[in-house]
Amino acid sequence: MIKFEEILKKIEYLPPLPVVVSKALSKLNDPKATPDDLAEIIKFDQAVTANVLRLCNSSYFGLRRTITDINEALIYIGLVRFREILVLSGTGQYFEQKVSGYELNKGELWSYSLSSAVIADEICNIIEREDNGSVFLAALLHDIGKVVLSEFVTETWDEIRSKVEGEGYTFIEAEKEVIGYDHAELGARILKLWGFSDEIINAVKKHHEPAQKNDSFIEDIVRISDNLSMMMGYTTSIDGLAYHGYEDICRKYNIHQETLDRIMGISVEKIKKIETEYGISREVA
Amino acid sequence: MLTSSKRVITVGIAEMEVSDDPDATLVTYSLGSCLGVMIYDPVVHVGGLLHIMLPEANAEKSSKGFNPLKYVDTGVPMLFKEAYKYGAQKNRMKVSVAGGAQILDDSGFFNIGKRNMATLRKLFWKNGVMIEKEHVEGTVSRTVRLHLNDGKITIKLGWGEEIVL
Repeated sequence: MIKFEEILKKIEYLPPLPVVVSKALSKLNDPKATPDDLAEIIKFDQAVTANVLRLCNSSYFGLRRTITDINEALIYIGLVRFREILVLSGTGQYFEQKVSGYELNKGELWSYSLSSAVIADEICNIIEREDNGSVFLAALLHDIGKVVLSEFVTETWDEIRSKVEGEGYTFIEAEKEVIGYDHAELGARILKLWGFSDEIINAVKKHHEPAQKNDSFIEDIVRISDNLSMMMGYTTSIDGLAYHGYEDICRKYNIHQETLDRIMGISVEKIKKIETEYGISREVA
Repeated sequence: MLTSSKRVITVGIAEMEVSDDPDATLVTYSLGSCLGVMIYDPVVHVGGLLHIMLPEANAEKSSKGFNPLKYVDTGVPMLFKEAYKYGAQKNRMKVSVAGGAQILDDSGFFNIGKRNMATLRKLFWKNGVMIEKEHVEGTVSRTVRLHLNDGKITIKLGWGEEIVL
């Protein structure tokens, strides 16, 4: 068994979420925040500012003139899209890298995380529930633990594979059994360290656990979006589709097979669009 | 690498590519419950690859921005028609399928992979088309390549192993 301290040390070595991004994210939770307040925070971050302006001037918004003022741009794109940009600009650094333990090439975890977030968003749309941004965020970050666990999976791969293929373990059960820690628990620890809210931390922590009746909305939706993202093949990961499906959660929200088809059908187009907008590409071997 | 082809043509989700360039390899990455349908006419070296994700278009057909390549029932006929334009003929066509994996689910609620495969078999049966080779179901994700010089198909499984179909 790998030493727990060794894994924890890895978490501390992760570069922290950019200050600007975490500041702006907490500002967004303040109902009194104005576009001016937000612009004041982000104007020092080139990447975020550039992304806001780029998106605002993209064909998606179809504006006739070019917007160069960040305050004005924030008003056009709206707070929901702004949160997306913040999160995408802030987390890309973790997700873009190669995650070799899971056989994920450069950009693949990024693409997978993004697809889960877009699907989560689409589920909210279809079942007519509003997302204040936490569902999107939790879905985007649900696999952040893999970034750290990766090398330990490489070390113990033969053992994990024989548990999954020979003994009917799900991938996460095998991680826990062999390494002593799984990517969901680890992800929750990372987010706690970064100061994320408990609702997001819990959703990440429980994303492979059996559903319970009193689980929160965020916890539920993150699990289904993860299911769908896997099915849609947004990852060529080593763990493949070896996880349980959450039919019980779908039933709870009146999501039928046809609803799943619809969610997948709509999401695929949206994901393509965002991948193009943000220049996300998967490098494949 | 199992191939010496020079040009790689990538096929995204709900997309297809057909080519007669013998130096080309058609590739589609990470099929989950989606299906990769590959056709190849060895006489004219024309091959096509379609990455479909859902069984039937149904009501979607009349919706705005409808993409027929998302669905088995509307996408597969388009793949064949496109290959005919390049001189391929139905009676010479080698047809292979990969994908249709599934998450762990006892009741079949999430069995889109199986439903995709069932719709495909029904469609082929109606049209007198035989599937020559297949690598489907299970929980593994698959990346497939169709090499147009000889029609060989290679599949890279989620855990990195590469096999020849």
